[in-house]
Amino acid sequence: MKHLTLKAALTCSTLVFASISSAATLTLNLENIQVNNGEIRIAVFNSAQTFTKKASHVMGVASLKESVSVTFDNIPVGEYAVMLFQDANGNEDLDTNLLGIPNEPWGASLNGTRVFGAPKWADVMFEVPEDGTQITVSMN
Amino acid sequence: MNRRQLLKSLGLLGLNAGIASNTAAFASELVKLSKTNAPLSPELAFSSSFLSIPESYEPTRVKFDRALPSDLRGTLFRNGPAKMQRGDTQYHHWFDGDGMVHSFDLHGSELVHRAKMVQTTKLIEEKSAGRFLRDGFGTHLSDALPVLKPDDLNVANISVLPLGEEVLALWEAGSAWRLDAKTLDTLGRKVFSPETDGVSFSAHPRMDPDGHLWNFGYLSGAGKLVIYDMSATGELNRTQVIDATHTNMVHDFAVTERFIVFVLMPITFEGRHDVSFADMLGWDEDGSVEILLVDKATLNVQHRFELPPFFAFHFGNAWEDGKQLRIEVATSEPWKEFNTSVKNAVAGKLPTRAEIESRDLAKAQEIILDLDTKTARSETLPFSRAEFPSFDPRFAGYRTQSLSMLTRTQDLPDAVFGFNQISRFDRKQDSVANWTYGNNFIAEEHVFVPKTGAKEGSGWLVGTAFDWENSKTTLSVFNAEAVQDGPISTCNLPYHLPLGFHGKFVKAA
Repeated sequence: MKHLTLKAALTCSTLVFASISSAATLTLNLENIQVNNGEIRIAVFNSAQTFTKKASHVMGVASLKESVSVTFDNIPVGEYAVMLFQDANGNEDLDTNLLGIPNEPWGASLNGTRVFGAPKWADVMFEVPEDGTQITVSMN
Repeated sequence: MNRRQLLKSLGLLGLNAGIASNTAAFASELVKLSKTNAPLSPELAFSSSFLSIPESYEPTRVKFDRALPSDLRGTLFRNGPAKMQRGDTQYHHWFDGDGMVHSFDLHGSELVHRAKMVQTTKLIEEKSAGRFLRDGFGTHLSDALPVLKPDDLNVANISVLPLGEEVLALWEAGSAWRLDAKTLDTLGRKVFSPETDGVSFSAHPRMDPDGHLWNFGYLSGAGKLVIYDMSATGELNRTQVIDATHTNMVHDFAVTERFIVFVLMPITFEGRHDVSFADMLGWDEDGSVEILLVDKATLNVQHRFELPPFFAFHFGNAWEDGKQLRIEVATSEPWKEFNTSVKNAVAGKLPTRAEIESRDLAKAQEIILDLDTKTARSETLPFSRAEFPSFDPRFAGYRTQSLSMLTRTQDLPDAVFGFNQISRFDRKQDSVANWTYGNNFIAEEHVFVPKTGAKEGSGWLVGTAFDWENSKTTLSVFNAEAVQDGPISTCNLPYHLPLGFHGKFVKAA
C-alpha cells in the first residue's frame, strides 16, 4: 500500500455522525504542527474494512500553535484509527509527488509508519473504551 | 600505537568500538605514525582513506609534473562518501557516508583543488546533534529516526551534474542538491517541478549528442519509474511515470538514438524499521533481468526483453545497430557478496575466500537485443575484475569503438578492496590496453574528456588514485589512445581524499 492510498484516506470527505448518545470521548493531542501553515484535516476510521476508504468522523482544525487538542464526543466503544494531514496550500487535498510521497505534513494514530508507504490498520489501530481515551499524534 | 591500533581505536576494526570525535587530534597522530611505522596492512587500505577527513578542503594549488595539453582546461567535479563517523555513531557501509563534492580546476601546469560537504537536511540536523540520527544505506542504528521517505536517508554522495553556474550533488534514491559550482557552497534541495518534488533524481543522467538530458527516479516497492526529459541546461520538458517490475533498486540506465534503456534486476524489497535499507533489499534467485526500451518520442515502453539474472550497477554506452541494440554492461559480483565485501572493506577485515572468488564475476558484457525476433543474448567483453565504465560522452547513444574501465591485476593483494589498473578496450583492434598503478594504489573512476574536434575516442582519461601506503591522493591524466604509456601528467596532492564514486569534467569555455 503506497501513499496514494494514504491520500485517499486523508482526503476522504464522507461524514458519518455518531448516533449513540452513551458513547465515549476521543481526545487527540496533535504535536509538531507547522504554525499558520494551513488547516489540519483529520479523518477517524472505525474498522479495518473502512480504513482509508470511508471515515466515521472528520474534523478540520486551524494550525495556530505547535500543539493542539481536539475532541470527538459520542464515539461508540470500539477500534479506531486516525489519519490526518496539514493542508498547507488550502487545496483540500494531500499533495503528493508522482510516486505518491506526501509533500505536506501528515500523521497517524500511534505515530504508525511504514518505510516508503502509508501505514496499515495494524500500525495505527487503538481502542476507545467506555471512559474514553487520549492519543497523541506527531506530524511527520 | 601503530596505525592498525589507531584504526581499531577508531572503530574501523571493532564495529562497536566508540569513536572519538576529535578528528584533528587523530589526523596529527596519523601523520606522525605514517612517518614512523611499518606499512599499513593491505586490508586497512580502503578504510584508511576515510580517516582524518576535514569538513572542507580549502582551495589548494598544486603543480603537475608536466604541463597539461592546451585543450585540457576545465574542472573535474567528483562526489563521494566522506563522513563515516559522527560522535559515538558510525556507518559500516561505503554507500552510507555523507557526501563531499570536490572540484579540481585544471589549467596550464597546475590544478586548484577544493571540497565541501553537501549540507543536506540530514547533515545539518546531525551536525547539531553531534551524532548520526538517521540510518545509512547499509547501517541500521538502533535508535535511528524512522525512515518514511527516501530523502530521510539522502546523503547526496554518488555523483554530480554540472549545470552552468551550479553543480548538482546526486544521490540515487532522493532529491538532487544544488551547489555553487565555484565555491561548492550548498544552495538548497533541487525541485524541478511540484509533481517531482521529492521524487528521486538518480545519479547517472545521460546527455544526448543533440543536447537532451535524460534521467529517471524510482521508489523502492512502488513498481514505477519516473522519466525526466530535460534540456541541456536542466529545464524540465516532460515527465512520465511507467509501470515496471524490479524497480526496488535501479542505479543506472542508458540511452540510444530512439530509446531510453532500462536493465532491471530482480532485487526484492521489504520495508522494515528494524534493519538497514540494504538489508530490506534481497535477490530473487528465480527472477530474471527485465530490459525495457522506452520510446523517447512517446515515453512509452515499446519493447520488453528478458535475460537470466545478473547484477550490475553501471552501463557503458548503448546504441542501435540496424535491427539490433547493444548495451555495454559492467557486470558486478552478485548483490549479496558485493555488500558483504564492502562492509568488510570498511571494517578493515580480511575478505573471505568466497568474496575473493566472487570478484572474478565482476567483468563486462555486451547485451545484444534483436528488435525483430524479440530475443536477447549477451557476449563477454574482454575485461575481468572491472568496474567504473567510461566512454566518449559526445557519442552517447551512438556506436563507440572504445570503452575504458578500472580493473584489478592478479598480483594486487587480495586483502585490498578496489582497483589498481586502467584498461581500455578498442573494438577496431579487438585489444585491451592496460596501465597499472602500483599495488599501493586504489584507483578511482577515470572520466573521459574528449579532445575538441577530434574523432571518437580521442581525448584524455582523468582520474584520481589513493596511495594508501603514503596516505596521499594523486590526479593523473592519460592520453586515452595510449593508456599503456602511463600518465602524460600527474599531480600529487599534499593530502589524501576519501575514496569516492563518480565525477564529471566540464571543459573551460
